[in-house]
Amino acid sequence: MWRLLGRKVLHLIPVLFLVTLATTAMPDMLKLGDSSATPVAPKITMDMKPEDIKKLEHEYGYDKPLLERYGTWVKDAVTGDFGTSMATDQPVIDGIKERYPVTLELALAALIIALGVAVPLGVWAAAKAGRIPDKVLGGVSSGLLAVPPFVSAILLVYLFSVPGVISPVFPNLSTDLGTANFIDGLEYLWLPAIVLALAEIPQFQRLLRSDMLGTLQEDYILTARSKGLSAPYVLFRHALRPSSFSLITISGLTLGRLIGGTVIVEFYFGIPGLGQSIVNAINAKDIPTVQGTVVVIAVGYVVLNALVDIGYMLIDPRVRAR
Amino acid sequence: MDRNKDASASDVPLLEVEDLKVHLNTPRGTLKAVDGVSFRIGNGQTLGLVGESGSGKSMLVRSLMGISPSIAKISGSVKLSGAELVGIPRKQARAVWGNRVAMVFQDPMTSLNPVVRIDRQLTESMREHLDMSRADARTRAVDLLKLVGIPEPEKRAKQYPHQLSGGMRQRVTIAMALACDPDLLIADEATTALDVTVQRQILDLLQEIQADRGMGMILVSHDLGVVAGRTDEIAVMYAGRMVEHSPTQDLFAHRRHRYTEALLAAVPRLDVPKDQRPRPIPGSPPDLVTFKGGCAFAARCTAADDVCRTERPVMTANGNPRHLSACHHPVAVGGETEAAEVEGAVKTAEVEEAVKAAEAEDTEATDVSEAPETSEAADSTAEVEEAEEAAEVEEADAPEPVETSETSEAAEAGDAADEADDEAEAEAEDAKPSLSKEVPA
Repeated sequence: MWRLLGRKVLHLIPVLFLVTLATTAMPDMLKLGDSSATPVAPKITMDMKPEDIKKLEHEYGYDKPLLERYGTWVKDAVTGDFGTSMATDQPVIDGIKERYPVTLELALAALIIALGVAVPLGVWAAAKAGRIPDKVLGGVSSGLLAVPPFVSAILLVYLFSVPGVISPVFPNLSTDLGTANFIDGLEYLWLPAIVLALAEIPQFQRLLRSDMLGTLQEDYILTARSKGLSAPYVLFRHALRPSSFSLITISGLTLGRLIGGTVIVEFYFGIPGLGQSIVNAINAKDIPTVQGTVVVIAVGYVVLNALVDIGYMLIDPRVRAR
Repeated sequence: MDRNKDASASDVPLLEVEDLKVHLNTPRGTLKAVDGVSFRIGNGQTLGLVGESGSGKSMLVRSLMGISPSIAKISGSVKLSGAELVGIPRKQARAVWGNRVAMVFQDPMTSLNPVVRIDRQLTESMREHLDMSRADARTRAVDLLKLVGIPEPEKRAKQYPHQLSGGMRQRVTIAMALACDPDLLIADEATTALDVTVQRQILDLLQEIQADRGMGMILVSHDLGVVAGRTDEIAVMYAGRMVEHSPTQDLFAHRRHRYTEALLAAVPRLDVPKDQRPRPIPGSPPDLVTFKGGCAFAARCTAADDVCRTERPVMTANGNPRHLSACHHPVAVGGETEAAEVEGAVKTAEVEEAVKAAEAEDTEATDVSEAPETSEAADSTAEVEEAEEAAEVEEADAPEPVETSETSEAAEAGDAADEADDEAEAEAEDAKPSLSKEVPA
């Protein structure tokens, strides 16, 4: 088991190497496309001459060759220094520290809501396969699949912003969220989390339903039923675990995707998360911020995948033995 | 042997099945998997339920356990100690399943949940039916594992099924079935998936436990040899109906139905000359969706005439009131096969022979079948010799490979012969490569 985990950690190394190298090479790639492009764009003012720009690039070290810049960046990064934002002159790491928890909380809340709804529905649909509940659920999930988050966000806000029913749909997130703890944060994040969850529920539910249908054909389910156990007990205590391998994989991937890609929802609800910050940084051509954020997201993704593997081990004793 | 206890000793039989029908609603039409079967089992009695694949024997016992497929419609009457089970609310029926009636399944490799520890699989029915505390149930689970001959039961209880061998797993499923002290134990082909050596241990264990607890038992098998020496009565099923039902000794001594006769002729035997090979039953059972009227076996029967093809025979007692058969042209009284002979002719018994032979050669060898508690490691020396002996014995009597036999559609009785053949080949390879040259052409 530990060897398997160790292998997963080793996988981190090539992934991180490629991601960081690629982000360090971004200025060079910019220049390939447009020779007048410069990594110091946010600092340029109207009255600057080309020599001034060159001087600025030298100041930030962009005139050095790629590998040298990469070495410097890695040396700083391991001490937690991702450089300084071109746009705000703040250390990149500070921005990430402030925004990562917000995004992580939003993504986790969305995942938990999605699983909390999809698991019982998936089990129910499998138990009633081919009958009315299954068909209704199938129809509803097809419908949900067709609704993108920016549509459901607008609809839900409209529904919940009835005056007097739910108070602040748009709190002043940028000032409050950074300091709020997880529970307090939920007060602001529940609606965006539902919006994100709605998009995931249909695929979770369908995946679990089809895996569960397979499991219910197994002999050990007959054994369990022949013991006179109740149907819910057989479904949840015997059939659910062996049916959830794909669901765990997809959950891990989904969480990774949510962390990097909740841009639309973050923008719509004004949530100061990573997605919003990376889009802002790209718009502002703020390369150090993009670089730092991408690396953090990549690390998160790989770590999540390792966690998924641990999840397999918890669920299937046969994996543990390997 | 106290085998022929009178079923009417107690007023109410343990299990009374009356005109039981299990009809499946398939897209092609109604499949009459079980079509009007009646029988009784007295307390402490064993019924052997015999038939080839698709004869409805599994469907029959599954309907007793509430695990029929959802497309099944069950009608008729099943009374357990006088209480009706068919048509009662599911909640009431659940109190019977796993509690008063329990089942051991065919394949222990698939009938245990791979991701649930042995002890939960053992304790859950006790917690459900006997309202036991977790600690009490655990203690009992360990006791049960000890009872079925599993070494280090405390350790095993904490393990997962994949950490146990096939024979050990089948012992676990037996322990599971015994968890609530059932009145009736159903063993559905419980040894078919096991090694020949382990088969016998498991059958002995079942018999021993049944005798100790005075349980009723249904031993379902396609193999007459498995049920021959271990049952009070035998019921032969064919195409969803019962064709012959009789006390075990009487069935072998005076079999009446032509199908039973054919089944017996298909069993490989040790005690007959080599040239008298097992005879497969030609053809295959009828399609149970389209089959109408007449005797279901008529198409494969050598004695069939127009009456057989048009009139459905009913179960009648022909002389002996406890020996019923449904045949228009029963076999003349005086069939000479004895149960013991048949028992001595099949795989399980071959092992016995092999063990005896091994003992004769090496008196130190452990007798596996007599000592189920012995750990597997301790048996290994005996097993090698058994394998060799069994290979030789079966080699000598191995039937022709099915490809060269006249019938391509081998019935399961024929399959039994094939299996013996396959095993003989496999074991011969393991033991002595030179033997394989002697495979009959």
